[in-house]
Amino acid sequence: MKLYFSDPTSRPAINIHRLGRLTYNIRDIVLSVPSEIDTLIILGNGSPEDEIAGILAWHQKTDKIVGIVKPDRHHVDAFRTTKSYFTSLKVECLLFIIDQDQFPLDELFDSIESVIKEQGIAVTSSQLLAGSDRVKTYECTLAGKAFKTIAVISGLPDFNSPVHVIEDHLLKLAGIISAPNAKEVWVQLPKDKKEAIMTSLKERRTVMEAFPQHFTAFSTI
Amino acid sequence: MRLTTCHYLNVSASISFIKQIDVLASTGIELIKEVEFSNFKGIEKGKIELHPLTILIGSNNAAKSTILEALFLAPNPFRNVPYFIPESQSFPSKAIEPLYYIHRTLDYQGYAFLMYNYTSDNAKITITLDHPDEAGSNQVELNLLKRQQTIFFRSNKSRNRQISIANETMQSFGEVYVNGLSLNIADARVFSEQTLLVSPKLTRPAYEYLKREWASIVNTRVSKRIAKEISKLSPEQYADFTMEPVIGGQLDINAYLEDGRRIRLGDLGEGIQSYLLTRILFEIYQPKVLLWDDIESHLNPRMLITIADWFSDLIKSGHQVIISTHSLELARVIGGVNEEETKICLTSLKNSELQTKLMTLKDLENYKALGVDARTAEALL
Repeated sequence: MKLYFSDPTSRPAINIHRLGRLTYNIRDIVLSVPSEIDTLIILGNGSPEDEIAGILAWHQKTDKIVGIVKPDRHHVDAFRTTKSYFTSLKVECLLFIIDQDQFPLDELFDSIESVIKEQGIAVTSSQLLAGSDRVKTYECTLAGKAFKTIAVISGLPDFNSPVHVIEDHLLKLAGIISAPNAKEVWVQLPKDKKEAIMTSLKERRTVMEAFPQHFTAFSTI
Repeated sequence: MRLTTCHYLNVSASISFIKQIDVLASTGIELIKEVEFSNFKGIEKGKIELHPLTILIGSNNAAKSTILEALFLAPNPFRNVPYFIPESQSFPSKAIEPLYYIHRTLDYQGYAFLMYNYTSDNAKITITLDHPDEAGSNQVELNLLKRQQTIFFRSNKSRNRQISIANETMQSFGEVYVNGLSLNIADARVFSEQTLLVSPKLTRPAYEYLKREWASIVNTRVSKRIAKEISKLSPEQYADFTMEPVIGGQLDINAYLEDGRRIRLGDLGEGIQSYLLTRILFEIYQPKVLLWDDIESHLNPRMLITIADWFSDLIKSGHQVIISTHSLELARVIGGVNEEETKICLTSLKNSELQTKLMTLKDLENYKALGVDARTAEALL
């Protein structure tokens, strides 16, 4: 998979380039020339989502070009950009990654559908992706044109925390399976430990097991 | 310390100018950690600490370019550099000549601009390396002594000769003139880490140099390798760069596209030209330290991240990079990709004394959150 940054000086672009320091040959998957894209990855929370998205793209053995952006809006609110991205970038598939936070999954998926519909977009059907209760696909139509919105919810149910976030996955790799605030624990982890975890994700099996819902979703686009 | 010839060059041994240089051997990764000034150009006194990647920011007339120019001169103002200035007549140019080219005016030819207020008699640049040399010294001094209409150069590393002027005896390894472009050179060896200055103002002399040395350059295959890299930044696919008479029978450097077409180098985008020239100059000159003035000129955001990646490679391989910019976006991108090695240095002149403040990217962001633009925050100094 090739990544195209709509804003090449954005924090996600910088963070993904920095993976090169961990021996990911990330430059091979980053496109610097203007490219047409039909799929866009939207980061609902920011970092370290961006690095994980870079690693997941690095593992996809396809030549598909995918855009990646971090809008100002966060979490479920990020889905309010659906119409804008669809109409301005003319993409056919939007893949959002957001944290579960403290919300039940059903409630979250319902909120996402409501937010999509509030923009005048018709959701013709929606279904969980086979094998994952954290990835839901919404078939959408706007002005007679069909497109797909995919919601990927970060967090691990077996990570003992009241709030589930993408850091659950990373801390589990560090041998930590419980934390009242996983984001804070991740931020305070020593840099070399964080780098070792990110480097361990070079193993395809490790990333598949650590980020099952994300890997499944990336494989479908 | 022993003398060796060009042991640090791997791709361009055939390039004639480099054969002439003796280089004082350096061992391991040595960086310039500080440069101190006395009466040099607009700086009466002051010093600045340097890091693997130092980004100089500050207002106009804040001594950013002067710092880079001093670092360019320090290894020896009379060494060969990959530029050619037709009016100077020496090929290739000596390091001091591109500085004249940058500061030349319509009517004036000479080197008075090197001295503080144009009138100071003694100027000094001292660079401090982070490792001592074999003689146990980690400082390289460059003294500029103006007597009558002559500026004499002396260094603690040079082979000086004795010159008598009026009633005074001078030690000097080279001289330039307050009025006139002649150079007298007694020692052209490189005294410390080799530096290369890149500036939008030096595009023409760089291009003229490449034209004259093209046969040597193209045979190193540097041009082909860089063409491939440049292709990643452009919708056009470049196979190589060639020297051909495409228009009007005159030889020009052309981008040779994979579909067989040629585009003159001068007709490529300014950003591509700037990056291309810098990459080629770096490859053929192989400096330890890259100095890039006004780096943001003509650079598109996509180019910034490519340059940030290139700087990562340079720093990893033991090079040092010192750049100046007015763009906080550039500082954020280049510094962000190389966060661990980067220091951002706000510079300013207060009563001609150099003031500096080292900052991290985090500091920049914190200032921004407070509504303070670090580039113009002399109050921080």
